[in-house]
Amino acid sequence: FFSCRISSFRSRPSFLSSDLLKFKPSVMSNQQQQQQQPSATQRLQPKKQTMEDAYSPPANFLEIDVCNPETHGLNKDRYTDYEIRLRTNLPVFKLKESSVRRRYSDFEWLRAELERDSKIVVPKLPGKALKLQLPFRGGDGRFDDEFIEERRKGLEEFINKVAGHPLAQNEKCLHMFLQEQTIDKAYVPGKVRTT
Amino acid sequence: LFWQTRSQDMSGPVTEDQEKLLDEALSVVKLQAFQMKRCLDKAKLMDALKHASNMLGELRTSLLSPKSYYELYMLITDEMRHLELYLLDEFQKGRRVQDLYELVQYAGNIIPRLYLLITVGVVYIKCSEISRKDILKDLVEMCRGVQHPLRGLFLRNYLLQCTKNVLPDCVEEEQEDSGSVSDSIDFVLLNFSEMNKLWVRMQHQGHTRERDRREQERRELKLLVGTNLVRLSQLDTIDVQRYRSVVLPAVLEQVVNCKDALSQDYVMECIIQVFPDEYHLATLQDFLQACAELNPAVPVKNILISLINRLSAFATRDGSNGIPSDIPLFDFFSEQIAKIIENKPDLSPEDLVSLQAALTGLALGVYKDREDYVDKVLETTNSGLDKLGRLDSPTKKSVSAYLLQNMLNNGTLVPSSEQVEQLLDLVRCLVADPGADAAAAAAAATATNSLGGDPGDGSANGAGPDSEADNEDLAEEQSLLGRVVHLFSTGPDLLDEQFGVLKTARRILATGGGRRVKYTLPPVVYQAYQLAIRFHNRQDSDDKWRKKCRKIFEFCHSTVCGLAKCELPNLALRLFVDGALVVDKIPFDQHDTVAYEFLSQAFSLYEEEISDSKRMTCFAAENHEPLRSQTVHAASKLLRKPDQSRAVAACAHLFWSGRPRELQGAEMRDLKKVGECLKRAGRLASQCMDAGLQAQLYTELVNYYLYFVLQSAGSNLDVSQLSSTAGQLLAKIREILSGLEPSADSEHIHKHFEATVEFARSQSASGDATIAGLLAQLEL
Repeated sequence: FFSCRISSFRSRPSFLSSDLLKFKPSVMSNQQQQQQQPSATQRLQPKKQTMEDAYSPPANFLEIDVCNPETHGLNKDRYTDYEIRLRTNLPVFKLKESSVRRRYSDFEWLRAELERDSKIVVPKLPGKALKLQLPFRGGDGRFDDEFIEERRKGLEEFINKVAGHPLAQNEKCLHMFLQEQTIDKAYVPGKVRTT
Repeated sequence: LFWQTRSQDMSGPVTEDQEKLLDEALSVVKLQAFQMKRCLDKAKLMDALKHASNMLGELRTSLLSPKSYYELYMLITDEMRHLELYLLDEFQKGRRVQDLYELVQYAGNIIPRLYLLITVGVVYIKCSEISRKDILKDLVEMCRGVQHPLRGLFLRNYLLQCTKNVLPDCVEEEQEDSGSVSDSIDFVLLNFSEMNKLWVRMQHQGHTRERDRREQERRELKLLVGTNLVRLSQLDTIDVQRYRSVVLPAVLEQVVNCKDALSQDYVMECIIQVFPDEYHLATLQDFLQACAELNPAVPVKNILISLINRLSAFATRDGSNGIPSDIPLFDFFSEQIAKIIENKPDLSPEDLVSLQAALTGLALGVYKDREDYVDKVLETTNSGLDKLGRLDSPTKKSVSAYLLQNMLNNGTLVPSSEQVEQLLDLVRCLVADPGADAAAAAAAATATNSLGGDPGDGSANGAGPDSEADNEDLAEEQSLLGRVVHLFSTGPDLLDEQFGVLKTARRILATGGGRRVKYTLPPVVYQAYQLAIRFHNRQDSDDKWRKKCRKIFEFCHSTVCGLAKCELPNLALRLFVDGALVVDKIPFDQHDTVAYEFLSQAFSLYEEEISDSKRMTCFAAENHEPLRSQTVHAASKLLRKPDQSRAVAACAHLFWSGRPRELQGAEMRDLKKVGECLKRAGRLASQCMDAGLQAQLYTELVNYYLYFVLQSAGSNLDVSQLSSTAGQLLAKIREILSGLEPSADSEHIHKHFEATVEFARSQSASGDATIAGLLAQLEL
C-alpha cells in the first residue's frame, strides 16, 4: 500500500499538495493558515480548457491496415504483396490518407534503414519462411493462404508499432515507405523537417 | 517506451473472453473485500485500506467492455460502503484517524487513490461541516487525474453518488466554508462538463471499423452523464432565476460546443425531462436557440415534439393555470420551426409534417379558440410541401398519408369548407390521379350520375393494369382518406355549413374516379345521414329543416346512384337501405316517397344482381345475413302497406337465390323463409283498404309463388305449402275481382290476373309431370 514509509513530512511524495495540510483533524486557526508560505508543492490553478481542446478529436489518430494480399507473376518469379492503408490526423504525416502496395523485402529494407539511422530498438519482422521454400515440400509454400495470413498479421503489428514512434516518424524512409507509390532505394537518407 | 497511438489502445474485447475476464475480476474483488472486512472487524485500518486498494485495483483494467466494467464497479462500490460506514462510526465515536485524507493519497495507483479519497472525503464532510466546500472542490478537481473515458466516467459517477446527500442546498453559507448552493452548482456543472468531454471522446478510441460498437457502448453509458442533470434538479434552492441565469446557460454551452450528435440528442432530451415545466416556459427562447445550433445529424424534431407535447400536457392538466398569457407559446414554436425548416433544406417531408402535427396538437389543446392557429399550420405545411414539390409520387403519397394519419391520431377537425378544400388540395396526390382536374370534376358532378367515369376509362383513373399490390396500396390510402372525411366537422351548431362541407368534399373526392370513390364517398354519405338526423333534432330552432333534410337526401341519392354506376352495386345497395332506415326516422314532407325511392333503387339493384350471375359472385362475398335482415326490416318499415307488401315479397328472393359464403356459392333456397316472406306479404296485402289494390298485390304474389314453384321443379324441395297458399290466393283474387267495379284500373288488374293464370296453365301443360303435379293444387 505504502510506496514509502511515512516517518516525517520531509519525505512527503511530490504530488501531495501542501494545501491538504488544512484537513488535519486538529483545526488550524485562521492566523496559522494565512501565515503559510507558498511552497514548491502548492497546487497550481490549471488554465481553463477551451471548448476546442475539450471536444475536438484527439490528434493522436493513426491507423495502418495491412490487407488485400495479392500474388503476382508466374511460377518461379512469383511474389506476394500487401496493401498498406493508412489513416491519420497526426501533423507529421503529409497525407492524411494513403494506400500503397509493399512486399516483404520492402519491409526488410525499412527495418534495416531504421536500425541504422534512428535511435529506436526496431521490433522484429515475422519470419522469412526459408523452410517453406525447400524443394519437394508439399503445399503452396510461401504462397500458402495460412502462411500469408500469419505474415500479414505480423507485418501489421510491426508497422503500427514502428509508425507510432515519434523517433521513427522523423525518418524520411518511413514516410517514403508509407506514403509514396514506389520506394526509391537510391534516396538520400535523412530526417523529416518539421514545418 | 513507445508513444501510444489510439489504435494500440486495447479496447476491442472479444465477447467470449469478457465473461472469463469479468469472473476473474469478480473473484479477486470478493476475496479482497472479505479480507478488508475481517481487518475492519479487528480494527486494523491500515491493512483494511491495503485490501481496499487491491480491490479497487481491478477497476484499472482496459480489457472489460462497459457492461462488464459496470458489473465490476457495482460490486466494488457496494463493498466500499462497508469501509465508509466503519469510518463514519469511528469518527462519530471521536476516534478520528490522523491525517486520513492525506494518508490515502499514498496509494501507488491513481484509481485506488481517488476512489479512496472520495470515500474518505465524504466521511469528513458528514462528520464536520467545516471545509465541506473545500473538500468538494478538491475532489471534483482531483478526478481530472483520470483521463481514460470509461474509467473516468465511472469514477466521476462514484463521486456523484457518494456526495448525493451532502451537497449544500442553501442560499447563504450557514457556516464558514460550508458552502452554498452556488458551490453545489459549480461542483455539479464541472463534473458534468468533464464527464461529457470523456463521453464524447469515447468514440475516438480504437479502430475505425469498431465505430458502431463504440457508439452502442456510448449509448449504454448515457445515464452516467445524465445523473449530473438529475442532481441539479434535486437541489431545491435552485429557483427559476438561478436556473435561467446560471444552470441552463452552462449546460447549453457544453451541449452546443461539443458538436457531438449523440451527446446533444441525449442531453437536450434529458433537460426537458428532468427540469420542471415552469422552468422550460421561462427559458424557451434560449433552449430553442440552442436547438437551432445543434449538429445537423441530431433529430431536432424529436426534441421539439417532446417539448411541445410536454408543455401542452402541462397547460391542459387539471388544476394547472395554463400557459402564462405573456408567453406567446404558439408563436415561439411556430417561429422556431420555421427557422429550422429554413436552416435545414434537407429536412424530410415526414419530419416537416410531424413537426406541424405537434404544433397543431398544441394549438388545439391549449388554444382551442384560436382557429387561425390551425389555419396557419395547414398553410405552412402546404407551402413547406410545395417547396418540396420535386418530390416523386410515392414520397408525396407517403407524406400525405402520414399527415392524414397524424390528423386521425390527434383527432384534428377540419371545420370549414375552405379548410376542406385546402386539406384535400394538400393531399391531392391521394385524392386523384394527376390530370384529373376540377373542371372535369365539376362536369362530372353536375351530371350527377357519373363520378369521374367508368373504371374502364383510362383518362380519369389512370392507365395501366392494376396489380395486386397496387390495389392493396390504393385500398389503404383511400380508406385513410375516407376516415379523414369523418373529421370534416364544423362543430355541433353549424349545420348548414356542415352541409356545405360535405358538398365540397364530394365535389373534390369525386375526381378520384371509380377506384377511389368506393372508399371515400360512403363516409360522405353517412355523414350526410347523420346530419339529417341532427337537423331533425333541431327542428324547433330551424323551420326550414324539412326542406334541408330533403335536400340532404337528394344529395345522398345522387351520390349513391353515381356509385351504382361505377359498378359498385353492393355498396350502393347497402347505402340505399341504410338511407331508407334513416329517412324513415325523420318525418319530413314526403319522406315516405323518399324512403320508397331509396328502397326501390336498392331492389332494382338487387334484381340486376340476380339476373347477372357474374355479379352474384361478388355479392356472395359480402356478409349476407345482415344484409338480408336489414333489407327485410327496412321493407317492413315502409309507410304504406302496399309498398311494404311488395318489398317483403321481393325479400323472398334474398332467401332463395342469395348465395352466402357459408354455402360456397350455392343458392340458399331457403324455402321456409321464402314461404314466410310471402305469407307476410300476403298478410300485409290483406290489410290494404283498397280492394283493387289488394287484388293487384295478390296477383303479384301469385306470380312470385309460381316462380318459386317452378324453380323448385327437379329438386326435392317440398313446395306443397307454397302451392296450397298460392291456390288460396288465387281463390281470393277471383273473389275480389268478381266484386270489383269496372274501371281502367280494374281492367288492368283483371288482365294481369288472366295473364298469370294463363302462364300457369301453359306451364302445367308443358309436359313436365312434376310441374303439372305441383301446379295441380292451384286449381286452375
